[in-house]
Amino acid sequence: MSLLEVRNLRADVDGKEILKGLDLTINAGEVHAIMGPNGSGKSTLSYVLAGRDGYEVTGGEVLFDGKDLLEQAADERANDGLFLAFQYPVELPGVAGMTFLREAVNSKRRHNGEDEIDAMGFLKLVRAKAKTLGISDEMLKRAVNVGFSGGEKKRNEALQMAVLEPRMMVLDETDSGLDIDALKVVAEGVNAMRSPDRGILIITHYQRLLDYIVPDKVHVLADGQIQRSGGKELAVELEKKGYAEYIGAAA
Amino acid sequence: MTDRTLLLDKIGGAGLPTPRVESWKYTDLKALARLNPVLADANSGQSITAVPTGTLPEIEAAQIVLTNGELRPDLSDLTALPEGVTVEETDAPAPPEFWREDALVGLAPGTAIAIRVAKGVEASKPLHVISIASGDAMAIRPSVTVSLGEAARLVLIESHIGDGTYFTNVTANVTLARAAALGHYKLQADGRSAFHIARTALTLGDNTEYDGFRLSTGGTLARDEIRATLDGSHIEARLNGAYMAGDGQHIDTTSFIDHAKPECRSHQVFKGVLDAGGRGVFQGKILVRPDAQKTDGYQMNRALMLSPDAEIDSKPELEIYADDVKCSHGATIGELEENQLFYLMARGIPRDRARHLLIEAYLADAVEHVGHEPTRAAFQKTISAWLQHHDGTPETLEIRGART
Repeated sequence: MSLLEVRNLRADVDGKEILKGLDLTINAGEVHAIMGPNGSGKSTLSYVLAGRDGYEVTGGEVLFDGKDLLEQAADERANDGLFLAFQYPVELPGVAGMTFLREAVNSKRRHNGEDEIDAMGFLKLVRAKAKTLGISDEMLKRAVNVGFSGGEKKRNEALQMAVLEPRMMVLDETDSGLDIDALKVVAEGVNAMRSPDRGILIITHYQRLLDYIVPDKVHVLADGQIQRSGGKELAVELEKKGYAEYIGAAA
Repeated sequence: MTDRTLLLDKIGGAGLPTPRVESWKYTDLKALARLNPVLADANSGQSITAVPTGTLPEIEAAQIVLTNGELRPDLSDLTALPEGVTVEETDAPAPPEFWREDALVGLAPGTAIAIRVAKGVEASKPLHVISIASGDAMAIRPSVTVSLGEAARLVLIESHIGDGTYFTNVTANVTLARAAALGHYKLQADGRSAFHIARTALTLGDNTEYDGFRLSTGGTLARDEIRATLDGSHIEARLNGAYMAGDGQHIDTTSFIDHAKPECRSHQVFKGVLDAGGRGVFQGKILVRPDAQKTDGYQMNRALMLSPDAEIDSKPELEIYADDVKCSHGATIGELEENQLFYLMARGIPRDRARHLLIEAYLADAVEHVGHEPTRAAFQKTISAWLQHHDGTPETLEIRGART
């Protein structure tokens, strides 16, 4: 059974159809990349998968580990192991990083019928993971993402991923706003998460990120549908030729 | 018997302030008049045999307990007061002139609890004045006067809790002599059917520091009125607070800061959270008299609306007669942000819990102003508890021995 199966997915935003019958299958252990021009539906796909309000599914289905994903609220999807790394991580003034992480971990544990995590053990776990991502204790004490640079925000997303250990990760334009050094740190964080029982979906406009996180499969998304699928060489081709032919095909 | 009918006479006769009076425009006391409370019997509070735990902030302090407005030496730590601090029952001081016109003042009690800190004394531990009420259709009149001698220092916590449809008419008179410093933190957590009308008069002398915070969560109708007279130079007055009103609650905060002398600073930040059926009122005025050059005055009221059926009335006012001052005020109204809720939910945190986290964070920004760390922590706990109870069944206070 595949980990994530998207079948003929259609979705509207503000009454306008953005996804127009999208199919995608990701097996555990695979890294897929979706590339596409602006306005092709990339971010809509990530939000529909994560369960954001305001994205109306009008057709098709999504199975996550065989379960109907679209039936569930955003928090249930997350606790079942779906993780969306945000293109623009949200600032939470007054919510300390550590509090946020502990709430997230305990929500998942409660969801799984487990006891809350031991405070000392948790602190150790987070510190160890934070260190590999170059996140200081001081940053963990600060309010989530408030006053963080673009790189710090994305490293913080990578830390949440590492702590929550999701089974399916969706990375929405993770490379946006990153300089090359920050990009490498985040990519290493993602690569460290690659495992035979985990799926990863990278959504990106540029091929750059895929130099560091090498995908098994690449798909071209344009006009709300997957127009073409191939191996990692497809990303290189897109970088050279651009999206013109797909925009043309869709028009 | 005459004593018991006093209140009825006042309400029916001289009359409570009506919305026609400008400063009572948003707070209508009709429901209080309908309740028609009579003064609590002397010793009625004796049925309260213990200080209830749970709602009160847990702070290590010497406790001074009043039940139905009367001092209870048996529940208080009067023999264990910090050195240099005295507490006794005295005649209540004459009400300040600015309140004399008002029927509520006529209801002021004959006696007050007088707290004095001697010149130069830094009280070794906080005092916690706890007013506990229990009863229906009754009025109580807890009253405190606080005076700090020159360069004296004290942390004073004032808590109001209770159970029943009572009216508590609270007066507090605070005087700080030169270079004294007071941390004054008030929790108003009266019963959800109670009426709480409080008047606090502050008279601050040269070089004094007042750190005030008021957290209001209780009552069906609550009005917290503060009048600060900055009657000296180089005064630092911080008057901050937070209020939370749910269904059937009306919480009014009215402040008046009177800058009478030069080179003083006043700072006010109040934050409110209003849920469906809840209403908040904030009226804040800063008066800068002609002599008060180099005044630095700041006032801000922020309200978070959790429902379209919540209401806030915010009226900031500046009245400035000096020409070299720095004064600003403002008011904002906001809602919880959907993108923040979604971000929390996308990390597995259920919607209700996500809302609580955001509301707590919103108020934390106000509570942060509490200068006394143990009180700050206790108030944060009060807020968390309020949020939890708020979505479930309303909290009921069990007052041991009080009701049969």
